[in-house]
Amino acid sequence: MDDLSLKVVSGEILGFLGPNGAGKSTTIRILLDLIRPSSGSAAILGHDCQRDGVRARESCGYLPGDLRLYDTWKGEEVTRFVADLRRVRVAKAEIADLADRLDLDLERTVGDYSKGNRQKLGLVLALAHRPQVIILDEPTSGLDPMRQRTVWELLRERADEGAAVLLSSHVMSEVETVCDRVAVLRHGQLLRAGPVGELLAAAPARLDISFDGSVPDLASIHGVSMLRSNHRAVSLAFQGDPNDLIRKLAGSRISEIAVRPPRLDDVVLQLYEQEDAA
Amino acid sequence: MTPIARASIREARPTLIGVAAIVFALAIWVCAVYPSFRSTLADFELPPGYDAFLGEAESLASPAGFLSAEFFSWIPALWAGVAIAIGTGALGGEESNGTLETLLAQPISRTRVLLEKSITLTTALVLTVATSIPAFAIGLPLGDLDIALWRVVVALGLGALTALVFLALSFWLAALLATRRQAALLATGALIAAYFINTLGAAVPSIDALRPLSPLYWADASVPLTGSFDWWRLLALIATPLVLWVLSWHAFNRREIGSGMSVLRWPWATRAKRAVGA
Repeated sequence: MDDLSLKVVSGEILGFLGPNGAGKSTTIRILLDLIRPSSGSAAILGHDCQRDGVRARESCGYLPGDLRLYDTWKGEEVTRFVADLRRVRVAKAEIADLADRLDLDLERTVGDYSKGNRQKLGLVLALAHRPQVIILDEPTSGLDPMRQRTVWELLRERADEGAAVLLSSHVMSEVETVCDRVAVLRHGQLLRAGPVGELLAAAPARLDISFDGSVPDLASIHGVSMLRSNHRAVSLAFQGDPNDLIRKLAGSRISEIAVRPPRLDDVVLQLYEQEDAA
Repeated sequence: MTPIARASIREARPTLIGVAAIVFALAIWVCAVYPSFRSTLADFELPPGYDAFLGEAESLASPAGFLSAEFFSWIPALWAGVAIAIGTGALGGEESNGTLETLLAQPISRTRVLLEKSITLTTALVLTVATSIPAFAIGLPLGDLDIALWRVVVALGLGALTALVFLALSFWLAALLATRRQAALLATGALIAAYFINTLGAAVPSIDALRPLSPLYWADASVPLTGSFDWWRLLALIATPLVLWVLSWHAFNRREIGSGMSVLRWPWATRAKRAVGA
């Protein structure tokens, strides 16, 4: 990590994005005091993660990217074990409700769980004590689309109740759907951080246009980046004055046009390209 | 029982119960066969130099000599081996299977984790050794061994302390080195070296001077079995685990959990990691 400064506030879901090796998991592990930074500091609700780690983790719920549990234990035993470790009284109804929403059978042995069910148990462990800070590393990995949606709903509910959520994910559509803000990391450095809407607004829209006839010269228009082109169709990214584009297209016969709004993966890829170019 | 104690004992229980049962049966069997060997052994003379295997005992035919040679010459090494298995498993094993990360992500300090695991496994190991006491209570009269039970209990106590030396060594090495395998290999190497220095030192004058370095020498059962006692040896058996536990605490608090890295920063290892871009 190098010169990373980041803050997650109460009531927001921050998407933590970056390719493998960007430093997402390292940041999370520093927050949990599993590893120590060579310089700098991290704090959770004002408690320094290293010097006052126990207090910092008291208000924290964590789901690691690669959750490992005691394989011979039942799901219910694991939930009781973690509650005892935290020395908090977790309402059985809360655990049962989470398990029910995630469709998880807590009476089964962890070793018999599928990857998705382990993930669900990890989510129950991370959320059951209603933490003020929720840190999740790839929370929907291995879950079916229905349960992914349930997880997104759960996170939104918790954020609406005042929790601060740090969500590390590779799945851009998930981050775009559920997060309020994103922070994009690469090579241990923060490339960009800001509200999802703001990032998307600054990103180019994508147009797929098919022509009845020859394809006009669109590359010369300011703000156009040609993505694909053949003698009948073009795909382009556009971020400029739409009137310039419309005037140019008006002289051609168009058989089909599709405008796709900017997507987060386009924004992130563009950031990587800009960094590579720099 | 605390949750960490519960988890630690649950993982180590099959090994400890198995060893306790085997040693219990073995203790009774050794006592029971003594009458059959007594007359044969009375005429048996050990080659010169090998007398030292008996320690303080006068002959192999005496109850103290027979128990020293047939039971106490190797059972404490077996307990030490078990201590290495459960000691490296408690830290290195839990780290390599990922459950240590789940544990330390909760609001508990590393000191508490180490302390609770140490106390739990020390208690479990002492209880495992203590199961031999009823075996000797049955076996001594059964085999007509004219030796007070309390002397055997003292000898067993020294054996338990030997196991604790290797338990503490295992904790330290597991906290210090990169993997459980490295810790187990080094601790087992230390046990084998301690065993050979103690036994061969008795017969080979050139390494006799090294015997006081071996924990198995400190725990020489023939001393209490013949009615004498060496306070210096007891002090060494008590002080060594305490020093090793302090070292374990220091190393474990500096450890980067799940990084697969040793607390020691070997220059060649760092260079190699850089070379492969890890």
